[in-house]
Amino acid sequence: MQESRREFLKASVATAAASAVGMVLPKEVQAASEQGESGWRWDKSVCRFCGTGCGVMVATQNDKIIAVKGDPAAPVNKGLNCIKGYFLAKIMYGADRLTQPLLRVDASGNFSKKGKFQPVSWEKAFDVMTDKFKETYAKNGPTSVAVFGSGQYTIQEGYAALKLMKAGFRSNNIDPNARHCMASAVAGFMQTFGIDEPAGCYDDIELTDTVVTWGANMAEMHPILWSRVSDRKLTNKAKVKVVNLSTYATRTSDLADIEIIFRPNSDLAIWNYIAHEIVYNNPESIDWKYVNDNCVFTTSWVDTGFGMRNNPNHPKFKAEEKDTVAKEVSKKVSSLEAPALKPFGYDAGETMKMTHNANAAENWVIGFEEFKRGLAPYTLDYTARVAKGNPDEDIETFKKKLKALADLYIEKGRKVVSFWTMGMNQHTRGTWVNSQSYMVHMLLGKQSKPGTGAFSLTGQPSACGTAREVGTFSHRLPADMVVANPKHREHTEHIWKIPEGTINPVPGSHYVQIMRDLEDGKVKWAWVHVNNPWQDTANANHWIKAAREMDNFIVCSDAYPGISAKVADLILPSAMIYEKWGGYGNAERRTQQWRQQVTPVGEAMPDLWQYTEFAKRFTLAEVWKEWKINDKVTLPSIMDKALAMGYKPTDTLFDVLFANSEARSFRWPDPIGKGFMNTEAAGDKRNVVGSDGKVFKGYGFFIHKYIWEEYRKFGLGHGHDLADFDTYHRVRGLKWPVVNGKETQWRFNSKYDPYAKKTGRDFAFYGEFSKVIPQGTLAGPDASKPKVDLSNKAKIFMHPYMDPPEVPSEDYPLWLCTGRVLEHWHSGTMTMRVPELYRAVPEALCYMHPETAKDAGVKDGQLVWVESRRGKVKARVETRGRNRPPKSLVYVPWFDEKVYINKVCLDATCPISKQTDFKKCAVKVYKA
Amino acid sequence: MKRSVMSVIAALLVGTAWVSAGQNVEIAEETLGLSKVSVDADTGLVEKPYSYKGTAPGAGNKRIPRAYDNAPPMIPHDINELPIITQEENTCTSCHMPDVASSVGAIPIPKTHLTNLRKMEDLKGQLYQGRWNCTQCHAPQAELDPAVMNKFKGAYRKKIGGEYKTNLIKTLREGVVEDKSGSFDLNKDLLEE
Repeated sequence: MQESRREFLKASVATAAASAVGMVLPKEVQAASEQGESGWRWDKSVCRFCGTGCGVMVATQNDKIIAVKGDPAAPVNKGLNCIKGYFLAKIMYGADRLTQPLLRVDASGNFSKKGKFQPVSWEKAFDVMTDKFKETYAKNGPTSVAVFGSGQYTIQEGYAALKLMKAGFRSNNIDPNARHCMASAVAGFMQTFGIDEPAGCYDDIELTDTVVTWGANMAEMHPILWSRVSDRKLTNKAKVKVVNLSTYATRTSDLADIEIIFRPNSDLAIWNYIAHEIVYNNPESIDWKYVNDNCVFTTSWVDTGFGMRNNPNHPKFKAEEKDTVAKEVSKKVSSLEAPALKPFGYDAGETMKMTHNANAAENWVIGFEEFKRGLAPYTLDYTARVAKGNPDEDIETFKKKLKALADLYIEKGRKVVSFWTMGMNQHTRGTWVNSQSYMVHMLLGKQSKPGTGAFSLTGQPSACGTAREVGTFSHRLPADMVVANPKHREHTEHIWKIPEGTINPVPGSHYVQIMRDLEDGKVKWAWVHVNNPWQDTANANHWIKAAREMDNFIVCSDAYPGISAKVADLILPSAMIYEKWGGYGNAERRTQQWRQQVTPVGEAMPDLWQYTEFAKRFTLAEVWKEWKINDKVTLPSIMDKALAMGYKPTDTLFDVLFANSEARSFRWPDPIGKGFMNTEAAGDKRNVVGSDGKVFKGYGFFIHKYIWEEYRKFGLGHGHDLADFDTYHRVRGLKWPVVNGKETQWRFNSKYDPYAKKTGRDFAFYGEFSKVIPQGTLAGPDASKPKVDLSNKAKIFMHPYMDPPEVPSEDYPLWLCTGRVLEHWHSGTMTMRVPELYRAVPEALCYMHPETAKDAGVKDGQLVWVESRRGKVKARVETRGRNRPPKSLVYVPWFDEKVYINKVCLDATCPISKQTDFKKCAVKVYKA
Repeated sequence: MKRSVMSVIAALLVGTAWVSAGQNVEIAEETLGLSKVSVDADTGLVEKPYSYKGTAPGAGNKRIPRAYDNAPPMIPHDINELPIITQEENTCTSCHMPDVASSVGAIPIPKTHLTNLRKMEDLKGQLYQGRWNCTQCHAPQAELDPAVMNKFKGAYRKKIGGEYKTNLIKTLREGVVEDKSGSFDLNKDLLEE
């Protein structure tokens, strides 16, 4: 009662403060209201779902969530949530929450791969998973174990997973589902700017004159940002223009001034067409000062394959799959792509041998004239021929739209924000098409300025904050560092207080590769956290067999039993969002943290606890010894160095990595957590019997705060500065870099970014990755010329249009595109258990054109088979819904485990980013 | 003593009542999750199509209770026949704007929606255009039993009006403690181009 009285007073003060700075609150909003009277406790938190990162106020009573509301103080969403956000209140309370570890056992209760699940204690669960881990680790080393991580990890969970794998087990086989989601955006940023994440921020929406969405159905996938776009557009109808580029009509089209339906993959050609319009037809629109001061022209290899297995005769492929996979080795240049590939030395009908698959990221300086030569093919006529995506649309109408799009970009003084998400990221040339957006914006000098710039949106709540910034990728370390760089390893080892040489320099397997490694028997132990790999990975029939028929052990930590739990050998019950302390980072670089609101259900425990308890099972002597990584690399033993640092061979990874003296200096209780629980620090009222068979009473220190304070050392002074832990529990997040306590609005712009200002330039693209590169031509680098230093500069890339590896044919005449819907999150494990969201969209429908349905002899509501070379799935037909494809394409969302569409999809990836293209493969559709 | 699989599943489904670890119970993977089939099965879909609750708008469709205090209400009527929401057209507003709602028996759009919370501006009866896309928060409901029961118990305060009403405009800032230190202020900190 005392506490809530104090909160009430603070609220009154806040209201008074708001009035003092001249903000006019509507009268009703001022009412600080009946706080305290009802016994509700409100606390600030964040949304569990997309990358927008909305603030959410959570109300609890009697240790249960009873209501939520949009946080009116949160700059992202100012009091508004979308339908999923409003039902955050219910996601933890589905009746089939996993409450106990479940292990597959035989009749005598021992683990058996072919057994059925049985509830076991945490102790037995950890015993078995430890035994299985040590069995393969001792024999096959660090490359035989793997973690499927997540862009929905809290920052602390991701950091603990990364540290356990890379510092503890010396394995780089940790990769997040974010690989499926924004790896191409990362590679685009790294290639172009040498540093990850957007320059701009959401305030660009209120400041811009033009919103162009490229393969981003923002109305459904980023609804709160779309709300901001809607307000901007509809209150300035004449001035503000909205253009939607998509392969089918969506709710985003419904608000657009111009809708451009393009042929899948031809976004590559459209970006180049805009650049062609700039360079050839409107050269005066080039901002030469901006370009000369800040940019260089570059290119990279085109013969790089499509991220598939490089052996079409791999024994696990079905005969039908082979013709597509063969394109990984070589392909015939089609007449459609031939003009675009001509400047790169290819003619129609010629065989392109894929020779640069492994070094697809290599790039070199070409100069403006060579860049211009690469752009020459993209006339309006050619681009329209490549790009028109609706067979029913008149070509002249389509051309007019393309021209209007280019005109909007080019118009002097017009601010333009280009937004994109999965359409450009899930793309076999995803890194290229990301770079192309910066190409257009930088030619025009419309980048890194208020209200104007290319802006990559992310899908997941902490794809940026955890997957990217913490670096839970197979090749990464925190703050944009990579395992392959000896200086980065050394710096990391220093902060982690582990011996020099601990970190394995060989990048591990990326997400799809871990699946392939399971299928090949190379990975024999895998742990899934906060994601659903068996539902979210394309070509799923292979991976189901890999899980169920190969000799391996798969652990799935989850809150509900999804497909990954069903194929696993051990299921661990995880605490959910408001049952733990955590932090997320959104798509505008905003870091936000929240407190644990309620006790987890059953015996569910936080993922962080699961990592730290597992760490207790390993002594340094077991892990810090010599390991063979491959034929060339053997990691030396580091035990001698460890002893010299004061460690003992019997110390556990828990002692060294998570409960060292620094960690223990962060005391619990802590004033920032006053009145709130902390399961990891102090246990909780359930008295869960833990991994050692004893009641878990807590670590006695504030592990979340320790991890945060250690983690932020990586970014301080390196352009990734984060504020201290306590600050984030007061403010509504801050956009990094946070320098002198202040957030950064527009990076690389000296007016706003202290790191840019330090250089004395107006703009400084100060990322350091890949900034000393060779010179050459479109044909390749020229070894006789010296390398160029591009410090503080960004790259304008020339990348051509190319066909995707699988296009519709007589046997499989339609494009298939997958994606999400507004009401469901990812694989639906949470939102399908909320009755309102389930009833809003109970099934993943097969959206198609009425004529496609007619051709298949089906009506709305009837079932069809959607079949590719790889598999088939049944889905219900919808021809009048929110998505309206042209005759050439069908759209099936992937949230519904009953409509397991990833059995149908192709696991081709961008060769640079290794992100799967879920947006295009060829299918046939027929009556079920 | 071997307990029946079904009773164990039932125990798992109610969540809080879990069985002691190590008991001789078996849970087949087919009984887990939403699809209730093996992951190798072709599909978990049923042949029968479903339909959405209610008939045309304004035909006396029964209101659906809010999920909790001030939660957005779900749509109790058919929207299939309504035109999609575009820049020019929003059929929802033609019945739900406060000036007409009561005369046609529709739920009036509340004050929160007639306020620009970003600018803290009372729009004096005009709809905030950031709320133009009604289906962002409100959705029709299929006539289906939930895939899985949900044990959430929403709370309603009588003062607010309970399951069918809202006073969010008055309670929005309840419990909100604001600290803007370090934040960029678009009104003060934006520099001249």
